[in-house]
Amino acid sequence: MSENRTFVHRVIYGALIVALLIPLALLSQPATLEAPGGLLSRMRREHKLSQAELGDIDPTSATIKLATMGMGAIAVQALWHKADEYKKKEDYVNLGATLEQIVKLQPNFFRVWDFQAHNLSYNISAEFDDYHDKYYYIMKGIDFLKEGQEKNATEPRLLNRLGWYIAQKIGRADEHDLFRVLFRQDAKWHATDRPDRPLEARDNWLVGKEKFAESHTLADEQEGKGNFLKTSPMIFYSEAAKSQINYAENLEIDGTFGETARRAWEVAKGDMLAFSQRPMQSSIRERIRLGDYEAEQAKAATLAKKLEAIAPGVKQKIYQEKLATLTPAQRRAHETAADDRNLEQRELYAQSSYLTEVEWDEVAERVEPSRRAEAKEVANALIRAEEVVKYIDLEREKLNYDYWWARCQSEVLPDALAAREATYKAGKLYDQVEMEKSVEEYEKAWRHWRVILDQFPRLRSDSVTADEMVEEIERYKKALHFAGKKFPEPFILQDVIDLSEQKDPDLAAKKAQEKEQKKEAPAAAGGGEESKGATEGPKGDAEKSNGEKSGEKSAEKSAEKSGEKSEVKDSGPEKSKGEEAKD
Amino acid sequence: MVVENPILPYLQWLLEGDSARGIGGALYTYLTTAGIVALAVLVLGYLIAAVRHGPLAAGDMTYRVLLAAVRDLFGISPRRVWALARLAVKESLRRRVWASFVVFAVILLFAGWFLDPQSPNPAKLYLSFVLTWTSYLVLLLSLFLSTFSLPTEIKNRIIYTVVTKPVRAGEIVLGRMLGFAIVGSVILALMGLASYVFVVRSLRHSHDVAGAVDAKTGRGVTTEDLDHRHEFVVDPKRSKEELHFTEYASESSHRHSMEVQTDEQGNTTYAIGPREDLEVARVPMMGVLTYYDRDGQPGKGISVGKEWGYRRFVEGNTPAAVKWTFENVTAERFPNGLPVERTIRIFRTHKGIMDRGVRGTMFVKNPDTQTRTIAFPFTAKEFRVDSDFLPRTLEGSGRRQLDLFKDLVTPEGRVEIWLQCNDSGQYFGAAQADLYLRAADAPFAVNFFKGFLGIWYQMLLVIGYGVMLSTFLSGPVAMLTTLGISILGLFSEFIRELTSSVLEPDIKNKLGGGPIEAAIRLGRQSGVMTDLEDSAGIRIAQMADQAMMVLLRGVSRLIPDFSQFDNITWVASGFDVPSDLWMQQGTMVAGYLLAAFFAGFLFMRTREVGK
Repeated sequence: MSENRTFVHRVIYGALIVALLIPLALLSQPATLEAPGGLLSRMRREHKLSQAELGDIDPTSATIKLATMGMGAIAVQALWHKADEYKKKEDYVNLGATLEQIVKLQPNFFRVWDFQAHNLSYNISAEFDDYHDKYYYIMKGIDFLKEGQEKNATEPRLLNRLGWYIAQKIGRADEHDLFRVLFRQDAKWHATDRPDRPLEARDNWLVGKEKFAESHTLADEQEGKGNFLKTSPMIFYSEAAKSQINYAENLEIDGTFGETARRAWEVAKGDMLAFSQRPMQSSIRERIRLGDYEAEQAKAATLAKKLEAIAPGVKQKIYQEKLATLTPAQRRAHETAADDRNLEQRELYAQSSYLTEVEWDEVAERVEPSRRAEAKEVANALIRAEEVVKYIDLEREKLNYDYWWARCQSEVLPDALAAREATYKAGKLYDQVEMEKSVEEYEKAWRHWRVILDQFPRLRSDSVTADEMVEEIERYKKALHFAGKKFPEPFILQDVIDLSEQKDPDLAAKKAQEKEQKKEAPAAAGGGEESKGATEGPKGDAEKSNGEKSGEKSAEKSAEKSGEKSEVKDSGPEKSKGEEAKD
Repeated sequence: MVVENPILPYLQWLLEGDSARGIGGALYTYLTTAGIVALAVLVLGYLIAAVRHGPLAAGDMTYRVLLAAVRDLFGISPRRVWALARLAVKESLRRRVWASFVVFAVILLFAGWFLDPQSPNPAKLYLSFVLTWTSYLVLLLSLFLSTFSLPTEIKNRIIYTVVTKPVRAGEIVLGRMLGFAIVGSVILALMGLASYVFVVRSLRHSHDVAGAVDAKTGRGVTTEDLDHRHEFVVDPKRSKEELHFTEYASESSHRHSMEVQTDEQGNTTYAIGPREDLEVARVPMMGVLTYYDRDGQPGKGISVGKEWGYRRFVEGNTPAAVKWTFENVTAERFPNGLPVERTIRIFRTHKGIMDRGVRGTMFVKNPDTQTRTIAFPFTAKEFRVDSDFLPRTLEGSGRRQLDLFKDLVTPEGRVEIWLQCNDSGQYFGAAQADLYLRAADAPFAVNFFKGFLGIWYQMLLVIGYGVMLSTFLSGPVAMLTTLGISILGLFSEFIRELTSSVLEPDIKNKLGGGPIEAAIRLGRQSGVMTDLEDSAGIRIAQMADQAMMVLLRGVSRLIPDFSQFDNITWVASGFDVPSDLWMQQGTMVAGYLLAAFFAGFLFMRTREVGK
C-alpha cells in the first residue's frame, strides 16, 4: 500500500514537472534562422538585449554572473563599497582590480564605465604629483572606456566620452603641455589603438576628433535602428568640429603658422559647415539645422511683409488697442524709449509687455473674410518660421556657435594668420627681453587684428578672443614701458579694451576709481570737507568704490577680506548706488 | 605601507593594551568576556532547570553538570584525541577534499588571462589574487568539512561506533577540530607552495641591454621584458649602477642591479641581474611621529581636506616639519649607518613647476644635545619607496664632521629625523609609518609563509566554529550559521562603523541611521546628511534601530574580526609581517578556539550521544 502511494506521488510530481516545463520551453524557445523563437527570445531581440547585439561576448563575465546565482546585485553592491574604500584609502592597485570585477558583473551598464573611467582619469590622476603618474591614470581611464566600448558596441556615448577624455582631459589639464607630448610619444598606445595612425596625427585633439567622428557615425547607425541618443544631440555632434578648432588653435599656440595652420583652420571651417547642415533634434522641438538660421529669418521677414500687405496697419491697430487697456503708469513705461526708462518703468514694462504682444494669428483674424484664409495660411507659416528662428538661436547660443563660426571664417584669412604669428613672435621677444622688437611685432599684430575685428565684430565681443587680446595688450604696455615708450592714444584696439572693461565689473570699478581719484585729487588738495572721505585711506577707499561701482557682490567680497562685512553691507547709499551701477 | 593602528608589542597588547585608544589588555578583555558569557550561560541553564525541576533540584543539577564537565575535561586523553583526529582525516580523504586543490590549480592555470603584469604594482596584484583565492577555497573547504561531519554521523548513527567506546564528549569535539585542521593545513600548504611558484615565476624577469649605450651621456635602454623596459645611466666611475624604472606607474619602482665591466681592449659588457624588489621583506624600525606647525611648535599637522585623515600635512617654506623619533638605534644594529626609507604625499596649492617634484630637506638631530646635521635636499616621490642612506659620518653646521652615533644618537639610542617641505605654498603629508629605518631584510619565502599564516588562522576559526555549531545543529543549518559568522567577521569593521553611527551619532560618521531609519529615508528620498524631523514616529524608529544595533554590537563582539588576519598587504607591499602581529593573531585564534571548544564540549554533553 505504502509503495503504491509513493509510486502515485512520484507520478504526480513527474506530471507536474512536465506540465511546468512545457510553458517554460515554449517561452524560452531559442530563435533559429527560420523561426523567431519563444516569447523571451522575441522580447530579447525586440529590446536588443542579447549579448551579441550589445557588444563583444565575454565568457568570463557570463560565467561570473551565473556563478553569483542571482546574488549579483549584492555582490555588485559590496564591490562598489570596496571600490570606494580603496579610493578613499589611496589603494589604487586594488581599486583597479575591483573595477575589473565590477565590470564583469555589470558589463552593459553605461554608468559603470562612465563613472569609473571618470574616477580614474580625473579624480585619481589628480591625486598624484608626478605628471607621469597623472598621465598613467588618465590613460587607464581612457583604456577603461575603450574596454567598455568593446563590450557595448552600440553605445555611442562611450565613444563620445573617449573622445572627450583624449581631447579635453589631455588638452585642457594644467599639465596639458606635458601630457600632449607624452600622448604623442605613447607609441604603445597608438599601436594598439590604430597601428596605421601617422606620427603627425597623434595629436590628442585629432585623435579625440577621430573618436568623436566614430561616435557620430555610430549614433547615426543606431538611430536608424531605433536606438535614440540619450544626450543632447547639439553638444554631442558639435564635438568633432570643436576638436578640430582646438587642434588648429593649439598649432598656433605651439608656434606653427603659415600653410599648416591655414589648412587646419580650413578643415575646421568645413567641419563647422557640415555640422551646421546636420539636421538635429533640438531640445524643444523637432529637427532643426543650425545653418538654417539666416534663411529662416529671411523667410520670416518676407512672410511678415506679405501679411502686412494683406492686412495693412492691422498689427499696429491691435497694438494700440492693447496699449489702451494698460494702466496709465504701464502705458507711460511703454511709451518711453527703452534707454530713457527709469528703474520703476523698466519693472512695469517687464511685467506688462506680454499684454501688448500682438500674435500673427490675431492679425489674420482681423482680415476681411475673403482673404482671411490666405492670411491665416501666411500667419501660420510666419509663426512657424519665427519659432524655428527662435529655437535655432537658442541652440546656437548654447554652443556659442556664432563666435566659433566667425573664428573659423576669420582664422583662414591672411590677416588673421599674420596677426597670430606676429602676436606669438612679440610674446617670445618679450620673454627674451627684446622689448623694442617685441613692441614692433605687437604693433604689426594690432594692425592685422584691426582688419579682422572690423570684418568680424562678433569676435570683439566674445570673451575668448577679447580676454586673450587684453592679456597681450597688457604685455604690450609693459614692453612699451621697458622700451621707454608711451602707450599710444588713441589706441588702435581701444574698443576691445573698453568692451572688456564693461564686461569685467571689477576692472570697470578700478578704472572708475582711478578716474575719480584723478578728478578729486585737486579738490582734496584744496582741503574741501567732502573730499576727506574719498581720500581717508587706501583701504576704506577701495572698499567704498568697490561697493559703489561693482554692486553688492564685490562690496561683500572686499569687505569680507577686511573683516568689515556688516559695515559695508549696511551702508544704504553705497548699496543703492551699486545696484544702479549694475543696472 | 599603511599602518592605521600601530602594532603594539606583544606583551603590552596582552597585558596593558593601548590607553591612548582606550583599549584594555587582551587577556583581561578576553577573561572578562569569557567570564560574563560563562556566567550568563550558567545562570540561564540554572533558570531553565529551575522552571522545569524547581530551584533546589536545579542547583543540584547545575553543580553535577559542572563537576562532570570538569572531570571530563581533565580526563581528556591525547591518545584518544589523536585516534579521533586520524578518523577525521580519513573521513575527509574519503570525501575527496583534494578536489579543492585541483580547483585551485585550474584557477592558477588560467590566472594569467586575467592578471595584468602592466599593473602599477604587479607583485601586489598577483599576491592578492593567489591569497584571496586560497582563502576562499580553504575557508569553503573547512566550512563544509567541519559542519557536515558530526551531524551526518549522528544522523547515520555511525557516531555510535565511536561513542560506545570509552571516549569523552570533549575528545570527540577536539579530535574533529584537530583532524580537520590537519587536512586543511596540508591543503593550504600545497596551495601556498603552488602560489609561491606561480607568483615568483610570473614576475621574476631580467633584461638585456638593447642597442648601444650612449658613450657621452652613458644613457641606454634595456630590452622589453614583461611588458616594460628600463632606461639607465651608466656612471663610468662605478662598477655597479642601478636601473631606474621608467614605466609611468606608481608603486612600481622596481630595479635591477647591473654589472658593468670593461676589459683591456676597452670593450664594455653589461650584465643586468634579476628584479631586486620583488622578493623582498623589509623589516622596518618605526619611529614616533610629531608634527610641527608653521610657528615651529608641536601641533597636529594640517588637514588638506582629504576624506581619509590618515596623513596630516605640513606647509612648505615655513618652520612646519615632521619629526620621527627612533629608539634603540645602536651602532651594533646599524654598523654602517642608517638606511632611511620614506614615502611622502604632496599637496600643491598652486601649480608650481609641474615637471619637477616638490622639494624638501631632511636632517638628523640629537634630541638631547640638539646637535643636528645640515639639511639634505631631496625631491619628494609619491606612492613609492624612496631610499636614502645616512652614513656614519655626516656634515654638521660650519662643515663640522659629525659622528652618527657619538654626536647624533643619544647614549640611550634615541635619534630624530626631521623632514621639511621647501617649496612655498606646497605641502608634505606623512603618517607614522611613512618613514622608517630599514633594519634588516627577512627571507621572502618565510614572509610568504606568514602571509599564509593569516589564512591558516581564519581556517582554524572556521573549523572551530563549524565543529562547535555542528554539535547541536543539523549540517545545513550549522553550515549556514558558520557562513554567517564568517561573513559577519569579514565585515566586522563595517558593522562597527554602522553600530557606532547609530549608537554614538556624530557628524563624521553619518550613515543614514539603522535599518528602519534607512528605509524611511529611502522612501522619502532623503540623503544621509539631512536631519529627519523630531516626531514621535521617527523617535520610535530610531529607538528600535538602537535596540537592534546594541544586539548587533553584542553579537559582533563575540565573533572574530576576520579582517584582522589579513597579512596579505604586508607581504604584497614588501614588508615583513611583524612577529608581534602574528603572535597577537595566534593568541586571538587560540582564545576563540578555546571558547569554541568549551561551547562545543558543553553542547555535545547535552546530547544523548555525548553522555
